Amino acid sequence: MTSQPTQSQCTRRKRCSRRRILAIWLTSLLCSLGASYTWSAQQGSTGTSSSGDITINYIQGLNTRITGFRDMPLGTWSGTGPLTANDNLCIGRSGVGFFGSGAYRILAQGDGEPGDPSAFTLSNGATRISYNAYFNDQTGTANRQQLTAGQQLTGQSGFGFWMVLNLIFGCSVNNANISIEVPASELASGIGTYTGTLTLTLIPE
Amino acid sequence: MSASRLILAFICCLLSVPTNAATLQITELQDVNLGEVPLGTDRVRQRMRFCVAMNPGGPFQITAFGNQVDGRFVLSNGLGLEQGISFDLYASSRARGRGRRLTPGFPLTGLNARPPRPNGECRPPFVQMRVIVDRNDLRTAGSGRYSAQIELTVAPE
Repeated sequence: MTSQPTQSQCTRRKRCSRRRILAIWLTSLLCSLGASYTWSAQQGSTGTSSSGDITINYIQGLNTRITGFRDMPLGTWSGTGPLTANDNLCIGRSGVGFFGSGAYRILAQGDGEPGDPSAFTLSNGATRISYNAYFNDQTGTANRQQLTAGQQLTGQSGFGFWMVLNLIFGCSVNNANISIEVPASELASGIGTYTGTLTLTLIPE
Repeated sequence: MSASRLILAFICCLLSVPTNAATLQITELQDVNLGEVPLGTDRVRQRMRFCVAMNPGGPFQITAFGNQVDGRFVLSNGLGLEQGISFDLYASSRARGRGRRLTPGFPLTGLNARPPRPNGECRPPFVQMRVIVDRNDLRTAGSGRYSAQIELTVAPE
């Protein structure tokens, strides 16, 4: 003898049915998303010639770490000579032997100015003044090299063991230096408090 | 123009227009993920295959263009062409073998395609394509994500 379903059973069945529809809808949505991911390449159409597109992706896997940054207060200009400041940094990277030499590049970018989004500039909110930036792959400023805004400074290197320490433990051994110089000619053209941000990107070679 | 010249021109026109031009289609293309590669890797290789269906079947050629200057095959990290990683493409319509190297913008000839099945499915052999990045190109590259887009064009021979 078949019993008639109760009101609650009917409700449950409807819910089950709705859930099933929802599950099917979600599954088909996920399948379509999956399919669109798999076939993100562009397929060709039929004709006397046919063209399609593929994308090739690649990740160069090296870890890097640049630490030891401090703000560089330039002080108050006395009215003569440039203002300068420098800061020792810690460069770390993987893929280098303990007793080897790890090569890297530095990309430097300032706050920019119209026509040059990476220019090394300080601003008081109304006007900008330019400064020069230098990088050294050892501590101190002797033998430093001038940076060009937005361009990579190649050919930098460090002792492997220090680089590995800096990578793993953060700033352990200073092995680089960043320095800036605001020429007197720029300082003479400005009044007020000027600030700026200098961004360094470490790119292992 | 005399009537004989008109007739001659008409015959030449008939001869130059192919009455049964082959049609073809490139499909089943997939993106190629070379993965994340640690420093010191000698060579990165990845194989892919795609379908070229041609009706009627016969020889065809394939031309590849990269999305960089001059159509070069370069993986870019967005920092300019000189920071990119060059790679090579090889193609073959045989199931085995290394294939022949593609030169950007120049057709690679002598490949063979068959008509599709009645249900539209591709009929083997598929075109085998290999992407190869050599050690020298990897050694000078900085870390990060790189990508390249390749346009593949097939045409009957």
